[in-house]
Amino acid sequence: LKSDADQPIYIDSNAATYDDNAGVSIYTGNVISTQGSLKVWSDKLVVYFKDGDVDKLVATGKPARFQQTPDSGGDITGKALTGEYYPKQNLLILIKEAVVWQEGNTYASDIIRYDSRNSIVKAGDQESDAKRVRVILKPKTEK
Amino acid sequence: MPESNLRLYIYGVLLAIVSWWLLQLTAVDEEVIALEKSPHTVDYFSTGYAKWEMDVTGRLKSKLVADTLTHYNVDGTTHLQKPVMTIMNPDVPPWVIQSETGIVSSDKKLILMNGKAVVAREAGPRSRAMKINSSNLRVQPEINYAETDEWAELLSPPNRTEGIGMKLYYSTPIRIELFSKVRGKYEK
Repeated sequence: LKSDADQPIYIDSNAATYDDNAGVSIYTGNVISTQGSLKVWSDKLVVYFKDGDVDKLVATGKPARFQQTPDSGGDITGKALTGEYYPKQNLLILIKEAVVWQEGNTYASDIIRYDSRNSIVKAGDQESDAKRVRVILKPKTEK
Repeated sequence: MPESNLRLYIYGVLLAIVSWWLLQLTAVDEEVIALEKSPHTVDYFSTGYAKWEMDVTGRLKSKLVADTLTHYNVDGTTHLQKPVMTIMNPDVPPWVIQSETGIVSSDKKLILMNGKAVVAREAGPRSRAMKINSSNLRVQPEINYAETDEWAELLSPPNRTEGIGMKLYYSTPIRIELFSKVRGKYEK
């Protein structure tokens, strides 16, 4: 949802470590992160701070999964080995074996950018064509 | 009863009374000894206690203050009321650990900070303000380390993390570990 970005981020896990020097918190074991309707399941989550604010969250898993309810249409889900989430930019970058499902369409690539405010999926790497993209669009049902 | 028997009888009674009296005396001594042997015999105490510890260069390393200090001779433990420990750190503002009561082991290697315990540090040029609410901490001052099996809450506004069981390494590199049922909350 558009309002997700203004919600607090909640993280539940088995264990956690805060490293004062590096300015990171590391959550491990059955990690579930939630921000409004955006939800991420991962084995590990590292929270990076900048000036006390959350700057970036990196989720890793085999795979890590996410789900979000957009303002309109059905839930968007996805998975990847790594997910980088930038709360200030409402940007979730899925890296390695990334797949996103949105309204019956499937996007698969090694890197997928997902705009979590506007529910926009961008697969592949603009700078190079090294990241191949496979898109499966669900045919419209005939009237 | 012939006279000699009577005299013998009197001597016997007298002897019994004297030995009973002596018994009472020694019994009292035994009580005192028992009392002295019980761990709760105080050999010294202080009110408004304060102890500064310097490092080899003469700089303040740590400070311990308490409303009262009571030292027990038999087991060598020191019991504190409202202990407040301040641990200086070259890189970041000092950590202040306080609790309702404290017990210092005889070898000074372990301090039990019992009851509600708070660990706090102010913000510094390169570090964030932090407060830890918990209870029943086991502090090992020589290795700058504290742990608890109880609930612990890390507050670094506006962020908050809680869990059950904590390890705190409070000298650089500072690290805090939470062991189960962890929940973090981060706000903009």
